[in-house]
Parts: sequence; structure tokens; C-alpha cells
Amino acid sequence: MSAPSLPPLAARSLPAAVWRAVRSGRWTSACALLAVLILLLAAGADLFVLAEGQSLAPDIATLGPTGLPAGTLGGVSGAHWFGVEPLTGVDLFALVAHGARTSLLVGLGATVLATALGVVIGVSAGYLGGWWDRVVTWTADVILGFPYLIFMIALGAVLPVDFPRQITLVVVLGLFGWPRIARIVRAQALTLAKRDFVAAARAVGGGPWHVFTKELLPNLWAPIIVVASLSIPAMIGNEAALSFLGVGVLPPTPSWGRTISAAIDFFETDPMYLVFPGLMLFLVTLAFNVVGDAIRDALDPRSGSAA
Amino acid sequence: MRTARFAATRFAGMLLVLLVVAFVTFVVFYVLPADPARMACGRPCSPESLALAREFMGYDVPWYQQFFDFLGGIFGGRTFGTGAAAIHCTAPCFGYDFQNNVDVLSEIGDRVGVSFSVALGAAAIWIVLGVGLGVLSALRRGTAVDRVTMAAAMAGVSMPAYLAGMIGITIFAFALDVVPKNGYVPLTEDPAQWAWHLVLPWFVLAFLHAAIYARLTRGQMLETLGEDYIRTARAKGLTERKVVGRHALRNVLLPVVTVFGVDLGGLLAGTVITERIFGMAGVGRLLVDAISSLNLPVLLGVTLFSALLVTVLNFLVDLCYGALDPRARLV
Repeated sequence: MSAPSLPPLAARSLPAAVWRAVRSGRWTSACALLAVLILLLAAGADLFVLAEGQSLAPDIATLGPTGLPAGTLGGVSGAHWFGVEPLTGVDLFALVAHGARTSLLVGLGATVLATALGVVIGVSAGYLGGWWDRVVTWTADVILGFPYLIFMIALGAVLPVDFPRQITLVVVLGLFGWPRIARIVRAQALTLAKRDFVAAARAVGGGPWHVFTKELLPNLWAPIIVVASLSIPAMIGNEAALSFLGVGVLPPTPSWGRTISAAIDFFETDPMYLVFPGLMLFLVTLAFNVVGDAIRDALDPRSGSAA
Repeated sequence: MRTARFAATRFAGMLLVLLVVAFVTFVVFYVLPADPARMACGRPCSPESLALAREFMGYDVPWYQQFFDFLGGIFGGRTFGTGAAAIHCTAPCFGYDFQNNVDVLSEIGDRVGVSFSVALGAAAIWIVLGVGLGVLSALRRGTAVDRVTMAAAMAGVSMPAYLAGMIGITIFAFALDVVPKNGYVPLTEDPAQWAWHLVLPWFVLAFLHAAIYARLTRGQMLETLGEDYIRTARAKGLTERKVVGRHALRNVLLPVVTVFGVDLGGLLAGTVITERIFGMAGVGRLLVDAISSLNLPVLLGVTLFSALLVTVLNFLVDLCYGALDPRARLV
């Protein structure tokens, strides 16, 4: 006798729920796979470029007489998988692979920083309340309404050239990104703080740190994962936009945004130069958005009903 | 009375926000090692003329004094230098561009029409489009209309503005040749040409943002339609049109208005990128140009001006919120 296999109503653990969300549909699984592939490309950029037999060095032998890549489709061939860059002859696959590393490093780094700040600030505001709560709420509102990209553009312009840009970008994006996470975490912490088990923990002498790590945090992982996973594509997009405007990652570090910006001038003569980095940027954002969305639908019952 | 108090509280909050933003911006720009006086002084620059340039531009005093000078300039105007060479910058003075010998505010004023035309037109389109498609998707839940709209919304959310712009230009300006490739015609000169040149940037920006609004509206609408008061309205025998349009939409719009307030800051940044792609000389171009020439007064002026704009617009959004939701007025 076999019991009918009903889908479980709720996953037993958080990793299981995330795993189920990722595998919930063919479309979501494909996007998750895509995200993993791009992550691998970023992590092993040197290796893949080595396998292709190219480097980031200019090579004008691959160019035609006008400075455009020789051959069709921007010089796509077995030796140059994505073709080459006009005027310099740098291998485009090498540029895109190393650009993926820049993008993901900044995107993930900024998300981690924003999440860490958002969780600590949000929980403390919701749990402690009082004047600290008011200061946090107000500051978050100010930052959310602030034209932060304009500020970052201006900041990127005045920073000295030898300043490590990736770190600056992570810090600045993180500093402007925490309010989104803090707002959600604060609201959750506010309700959790009134629950009996938190009161019980305090009654037996648990300090704020104990309550934070042992009582509140385990109940906050779901919303944290949801907001963080949806903030990765936003951060990647911000980095690319800043680099596109010339105030993000500086040369010679490859960046999708900067390559796209350069490619716009060649769009009519060498469209593939724009297509490869542009498509990669679109795909990585799409992949993270779709997966983040699926996780949200799985972990947040309210949005799940709407899907 | 209550509405007036609500407005007054929000207004005071707005002023405080602006002061803090001005202060933070000023400190950040001041502690950075870029020195506008040295750049204005040219090369070779003797220590005497550098000191002279500093004094003329008002950089010879401590930074807090400069901050108060700047604030004073906004309210009462200020004069740079003395004697015959003095430059007067009338109130409100957002700084003086020593590279182009013009005050920053009039530079912004010359270009703000372009940026406003791009931003406001796009915002109008995306709200109508986003809310409309969201409502439609919610009412036709699970059908092809719903699925296509949501897939397009996902693509729109993931698409960077400059890629969407390039695709738009390729299809509509080059391949089909139906709209102009770039340029801008002022509204006062020729309204038809004004709109004609802006159609593409409007729809590109609107496509990207409408996506978020469509998703938000759809989710909110589905949730609202499950509420008891909607069942009551239906039970009273109201037409579906009235149930959705009058009863549901009002509640659906609350989070939409909130998101719109947050998006205003991003909209300004969006116009920077749009102006670059479509070759328009707006405030965004002013900012990008100021970056390449390291024109610090312009950078500071534009940053503060956009902060002012966003804060004022957010204030208006707050008032709208109060009108939509009476509970918000109690704060």
C-alpha cells in the first residue's frame, strides 16, 4: 500500500525551501543554472580565457584595415569566441569573462555589506525601539528618497584615480542599499519582539546579543534571503550603469558597463561588440531576478498567493 | 486643520532632510582631494596666484565657514572677489561655475527643460501603462495576456536603460526610420516636433519602469480582490467596473504611490543615461560634462539641486498619500 504523494505544504527547513523554489519550474531552473554558469565564468575567468588561448593583450593583427575586426560578426572564430574589440584587437571573450568577475564581485560584495548593515540596524531598531528606532526610520527614508546614483556619479568623478574602485563601489552601493533591507527586517523584528519566546529568553536573563543571534535571527532568515537575492541584480545594474557613465570601475580593469559604453560608438559598424557584453548583463540580471522572485514566492506566503 | 498640520509637519521634515543632504554632500566633496582653485589657476601656478584664486572662489576659509557661505548664497546670494573683478551670484545661488563663468543655477535652468520633458513624459506613460497592465493582468489572471505581460515585465526589470535605448534606436530610428535618432526641440518652439523627438526616450524609460509597476499593481490587485469589502461591494450588486475602479483601485494605488516616491531619485539618474544615449543636452549632460572637466561647483550644484527636486517631489507624494489614505494624516 502506497500513500498518495502529496506535495508538502511547507518545507521543513530554509535550505530545503530555497532548493524547492529554485526547482519549482523549468523556467526557474534554467535561470538558476544560468546564474551558476555565469558565476563559474566569473570565478574561473583566467582558466576559460586560457582554454580559449587568448589574453587581455591588444592584438592588432586581428583587425582589418579600417580598425574594425577582420572577418564576419565582429571577428567571431574558433580562436576568438566572441570576436575582438575594434581598434585594439583585445579578445572580447576575455573582456566579457573578466568583466563578469568585476560585475559579480561588486554585485555580491555590495549585497553582503548592505544586508549585514540592514539586518543589524533593522533588528536593533525594531527590537530596541525608542529614539534609535526613530533615527533609523528617518535616515532610511532620507536615503531611499535621495538621488543616490547622481551622488555616486559626482563622487566617482572626484575620487582620485589610484583609489581602489571596486572597494569604493562596494562600500558606496552598500551604504545606500541598507535601508531597503533594514525596513523589512525592522518590521519583522517589531512583531517578533512581542512574541512569548523572546520574552521568555529575556526572562531567563538573555542579553540583547543572545536574543539577536539565538531568537530573532533564525526567524528572520526568510525575509533576509528574499531581499538579498533581489538586491544582487540591482547592485550589478548599478555598477554597470556607473561604469557606463565612466565613473565606475576604471581601466584597465574590464567592466561590462564600460565595454557597452565604448561599443555604442561602434554600434553601426560592429554590432557584435555591443551584443555580447549587453546580452551577458541582461542575462545575469534576468537570471538573478527570476530566481529571487521564485524564492520570494516560496518563502513569502502573501506574494505566493499572488503568483 | 488636520490636513494643514500634516502638511506643515512634512514641510518641516523636508527642510531638515535638505539641510542634512546639503551638509553631507558638502563634507564629502570638501574632504576629497580635488582642488578647484588649483584647476582654475592653470599652469604654471605660483603659490601667490593659487592663494588669490582660493580667496576669490571662497576656498580660503575653513570648511564649515564655506558651508555657511554656500547656504547663505542660496538664500541671499553671494559675491565672489572684490572690486571691479567681483562676480555677483544672485539668490538663490547654488554656486558659480568658474570654468564657464556662469552661475550654476542658470546653467541648470537652461537645461532643466530637456530633463523635465524626458522624465515627466516617461513617468506619465509608465504609470498609466504599468497600472493599466497590472490591473488587466490581475483580472485576466492565468491567461495568455497575464503571462505575456508578466514575462515582458520580467524582461523590463532586468534590462539596463542603455541597452533598451540602443535596441529602441536600432529598431525604430534606424531599421524602421519612423522617429528621429537624437536631438531635442524645445516645447515652446514646436510642440509637435518636441513630442516627436521625445517619443522614443519616453517609451524606453517607461518600458523599464512600467514593468515594476505592472508587477506591483497585479500582486496588490489580486490581494485586494480577495478582501471582504470587495465581496460586500459585489453583493450590493455594483458593476464589476465600479468594484474594480472605485473600491479596489484606491487601495491598490497606495503602494504604487509609495514606490513612485522612492523611484523619483532613480528617475533623475535614468535621465542621465537617457540623455547620453539620445544625445540630448539636459541636466544629465551637464553632470557628465562636469565629471570629465572636474567642475566641482557644478557637481555640487547639480547634486544639491536634484536632492532638492526629489525632496520636494516626495513632499508632494506624501500629500497625495494623505489624500488617498486618511490614516496617513494622523501621523
